Amino acid sequence: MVPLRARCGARARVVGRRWPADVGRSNFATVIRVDVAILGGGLAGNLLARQLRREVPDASVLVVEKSKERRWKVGESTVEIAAHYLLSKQGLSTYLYDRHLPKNGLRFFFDTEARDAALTAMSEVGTDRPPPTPSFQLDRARFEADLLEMNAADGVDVRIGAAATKLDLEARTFEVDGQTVHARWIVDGTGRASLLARERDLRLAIDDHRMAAVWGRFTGVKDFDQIDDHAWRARSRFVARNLSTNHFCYPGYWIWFIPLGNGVTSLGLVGDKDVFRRGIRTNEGFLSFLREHGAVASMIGGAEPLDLEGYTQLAYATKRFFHGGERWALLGDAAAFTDPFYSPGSDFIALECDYTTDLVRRDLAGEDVADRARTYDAFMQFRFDATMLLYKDLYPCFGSYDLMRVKLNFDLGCYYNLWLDPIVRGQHLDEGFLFKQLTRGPETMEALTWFGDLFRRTTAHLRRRGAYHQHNLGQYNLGVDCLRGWLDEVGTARKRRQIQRRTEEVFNYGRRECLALLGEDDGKTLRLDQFAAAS
Amino acid sequence: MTRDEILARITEILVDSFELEPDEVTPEATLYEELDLDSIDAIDIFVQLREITGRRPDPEEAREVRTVDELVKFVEAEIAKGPQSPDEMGAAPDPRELFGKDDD
Repeated sequence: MVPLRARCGARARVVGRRWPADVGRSNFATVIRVDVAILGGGLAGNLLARQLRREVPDASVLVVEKSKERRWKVGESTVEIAAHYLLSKQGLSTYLYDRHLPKNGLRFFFDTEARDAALTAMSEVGTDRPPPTPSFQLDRARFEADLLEMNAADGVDVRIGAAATKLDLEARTFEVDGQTVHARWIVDGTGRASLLARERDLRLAIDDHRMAAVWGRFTGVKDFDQIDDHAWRARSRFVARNLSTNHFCYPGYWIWFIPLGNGVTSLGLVGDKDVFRRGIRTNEGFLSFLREHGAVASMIGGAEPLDLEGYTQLAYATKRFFHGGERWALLGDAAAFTDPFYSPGSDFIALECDYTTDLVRRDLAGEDVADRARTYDAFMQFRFDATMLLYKDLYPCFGSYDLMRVKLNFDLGCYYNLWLDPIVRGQHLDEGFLFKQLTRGPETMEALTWFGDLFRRTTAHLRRRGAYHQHNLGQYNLGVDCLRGWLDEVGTARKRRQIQRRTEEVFNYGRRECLALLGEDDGKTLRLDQFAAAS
Repeated sequence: MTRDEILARITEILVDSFELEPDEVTPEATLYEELDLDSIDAIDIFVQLREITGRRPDPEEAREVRTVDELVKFVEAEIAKGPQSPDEMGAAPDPRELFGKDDD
């Protein structure tokens, strides 16, 4: 292991300038001084280190990673915000297309009540052409190993096989390999076991979204595009279904298929804890559960497990993501997690890295960032709360094509219009914009809550009528009902009114389609403020 | 402040905050129909107007305002009442408190 000063002589001068004279004077040889110490060399920690090297090149960066081996990890499927971040902020376009798989969007299949439909008979929501906005299926083991290597080559002090201990946030110190690290910023990307979250008692339980998960990597899983049914293959026209994140949807749970390249496929089950019967967290128990679903069984006849993992409780929140006064930040699972249905994990990492990089840059330039960190933190909390509303108490509608066709289109329209658009435009780093978003936040939350209630009422109605599974066979929807006609606008300099009109269109779509399922279609088109009034 | 100065400041707030064109902000323009503002926007406007009036607006009176001209007259009347003490005004609402989870 090479000491930071020996490897980064040029930056040692910078470090010296930023620290008070009395810090670390006693035992200089065993003290490492660094601008940013990142605990955890997984996806989040490595992306932050890389972004800091690219955007704040004067900052010295240390990454401490406990594990000597890079292994497969859950969180392989990225969506648009994360992909945009990886391309625009990380400069990884060639690398990602070279070493990982491009993703053909999210895709959803629906089954009979008896769970015996053939894959080709299932109703489906998913695009029939490669999506215009890029995303990727990440082999996390490869990605993290490559990022560690890239970061080490780029001047980041990377300590592998070293665990951080004796974290003292007041002194901003911790120990690693018998050396004391003094860091101006301490960032925790160590995942659910987060040292910093424990130290500051930041973790908040979420008791009203009781979802668990089990997943593993498998070889021998059949390729969706090799199914011997010409008409079915022709239906998806220009797109390879196998490169999508494929979801098999059931009431209360769903099963994922994510290709990772080299013949490996990630399979996972997410659902209410009641679905997780005894033995399901073993290879045989998991495969046995999957085989109870006809279409899934037809894909995994030759599947051989490589690993198996699980979480008994997926969602949790954090009291804070960032603290500008104490100069710390949490990234990824060290902070919070919502639900994997729409693959939002790396979207959160992208925002957290962007915000942390901005705070570090400003702090090193002499700015007091305490107040700005509060704003970023509030926006992350808003994003978290709004994301939870997409899932909370809504798993019961997941198994119905009629319901999910509406929900998927509605949620995608909201995501592109309200979240992806401002982030592509870089507005998420503009405090004035964030204040406006936060001011309107309660209205957004009320509208999303209102739609959640509408979906739940529609679910109950279809159940009562015995129509929950009515159209789960033979239907096909591209999933872009709400994006048609305005996808080209996303990420461009749109006027506020234009964005509001699109929100109004998406909201009216959701309302109209649900009321049609309820038999209550009133033919009305509401203005945006009428939705607020209704909720 | 003269009426023209008040109108100029209101126009500036509306143009900057809601991406309106300056020529849309005429005295006759209705805030909610023609300028396409909503109730949340109205709160935003009245918060910004506190800087001119030095007063916390009465919600009932603020609700009566329908046009740009009525907004100018409202600000005139507020200024005429004289500024409130900081205690009477209270702090401007901080939207971050709507989502913050940390009590510290």
